[in-house]
Amino acid sequence: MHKTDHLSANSQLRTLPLDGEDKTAAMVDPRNAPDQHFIDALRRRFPCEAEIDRVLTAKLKQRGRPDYRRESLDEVVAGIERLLHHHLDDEFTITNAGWLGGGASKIQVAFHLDWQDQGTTHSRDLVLRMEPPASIVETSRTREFEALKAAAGIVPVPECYWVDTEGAFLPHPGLIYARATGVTRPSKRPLGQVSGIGTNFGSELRPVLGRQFVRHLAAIHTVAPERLAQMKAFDGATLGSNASIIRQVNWWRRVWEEDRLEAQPLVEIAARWLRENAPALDHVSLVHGDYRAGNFLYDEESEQITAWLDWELAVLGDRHQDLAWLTGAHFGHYAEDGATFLASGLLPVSELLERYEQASGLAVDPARLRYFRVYNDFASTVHMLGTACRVARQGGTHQDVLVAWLAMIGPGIAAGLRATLEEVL
Amino acid sequence: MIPDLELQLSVTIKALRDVVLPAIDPADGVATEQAHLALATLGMVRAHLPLRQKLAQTELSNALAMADSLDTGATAETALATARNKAKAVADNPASCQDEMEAARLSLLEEMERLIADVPADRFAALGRSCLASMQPQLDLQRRWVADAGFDPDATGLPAIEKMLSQSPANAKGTPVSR
Repeated sequence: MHKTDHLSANSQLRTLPLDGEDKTAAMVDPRNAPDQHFIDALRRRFPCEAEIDRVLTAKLKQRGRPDYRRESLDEVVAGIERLLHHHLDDEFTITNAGWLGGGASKIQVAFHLDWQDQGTTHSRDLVLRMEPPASIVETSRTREFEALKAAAGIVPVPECYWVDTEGAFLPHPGLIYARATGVTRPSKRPLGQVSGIGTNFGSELRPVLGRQFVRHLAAIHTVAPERLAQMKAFDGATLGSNASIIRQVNWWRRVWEEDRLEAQPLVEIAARWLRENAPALDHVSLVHGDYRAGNFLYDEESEQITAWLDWELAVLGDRHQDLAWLTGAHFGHYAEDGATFLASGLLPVSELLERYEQASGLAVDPARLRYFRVYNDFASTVHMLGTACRVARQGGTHQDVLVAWLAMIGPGIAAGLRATLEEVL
Repeated sequence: MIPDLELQLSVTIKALRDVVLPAIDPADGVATEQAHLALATLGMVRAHLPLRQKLAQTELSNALAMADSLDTGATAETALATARNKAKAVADNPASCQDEMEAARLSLLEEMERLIADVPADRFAALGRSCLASMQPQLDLQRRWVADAGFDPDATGLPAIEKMLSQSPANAKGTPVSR
């Protein structure tokens, strides 16, 4: 550890002055407008994957600019046109553009595109998925694009077309993919929480979707190595090594240090424990990173899953990360008997894991599950108690009120993290 | 008199609920969701507003209890001890304002997080366990404070927030969370 860097990063934060202190000096928080020294210190202290480092560094360099102003629809469409002109030689037509709801972290615009490409005529409903100036999770559109490409043909995902990695054409970085049809929850059931959390599919639909849910997860986790090797924005993961997992821990520990409004010893305890106990990979999987109800669409008539969405947190790593995530308390609910917990509102945990082992041919290791329960709660605590509060205070997103609302998940997750750490430490 | 905060909040909530929300185009899902969240947030603020001073006092008290559990008197803990002495003076002064209590609490948290980061490996587990045990009252308080958001059903099993704010950390009892 670079102790000097650590001290400089930690000791500069004091949002309120103590009695008798100079108020101007005390209220300087380097995170509000990070300078190069601050950024360099964090990059040295928390090494992570190159593309993630690029995204996080860009985030910090942008912070401190004037308050967010949501672009008009016309401005966004003009950006789409610039991107398409860059990629297409022939004429194209954009129609029916409109804002699309759903998702707490990205701006989405639906539109119809007619275009010619090498003599072939295309006509598609498409979606622009674009970053706001600040997000509850700062991620790479290039990585998301590559993850979607890797999963294509293996599980249903929207077909990807173009990506603007650094916002050279669009107002902000974004990607364009096909608009998938379907719903995230039964249209005739009452609304649950925001972002699909705690969705109740009903007792008849659960097993139908649950079987597909498990089968798709197994397919994602067993994507062939040669396909994973095409994912150039990912640094790769090595069988028998825990280096990739430690990089992931560094990723979120760095984000905590970048975003937090106040210190929290719990986060440091978790990060240290995770680094010291990181398991070596026994299989390199494509990990979705946010695999749960709310992130897939299904057709209500055929009851078939039509698309897996939100791949922005995908990594090459350990399957237990997804398994611990989707069996987490906040994404499920109890069945009508009041006693059976349904993971992601779909299947009892034991049945889900048993089906997963059969479908994937990969074992479920309880010790790894526990490790990734700590990891996931650690990362979620960073998102909710660190980043969500930071970006909402900045006014940096397209839906600050939702982000601030989601931040209230944080204390429950942090309490779960504390309890699990008490068991393992 | 001038309209007090309670009055201003209640009329704002009424206007949003009775006039603004019904006027939103139902097809605009984002606007509808944000309007509902704005209303719910204002309702929560209205309920919590009278409790702010007690919250600041209790949170500072909880942070002091955490610091007590970590400060073993060794040289490395000197910075924490200094922050703790300052925070204790703020906590003991009945004239302390919310900003002063908050500043003292933040300073304590900074020193505790730094201590955890820097503690040698052979002391990490013991110090970590002490810290984890001592932070439960604060996490329970935070869970109860945001329980009405509905994300944490177990939080409703905790004592009422008014009761938690009048308890000292040593007397507070936690409620397990579902995992």
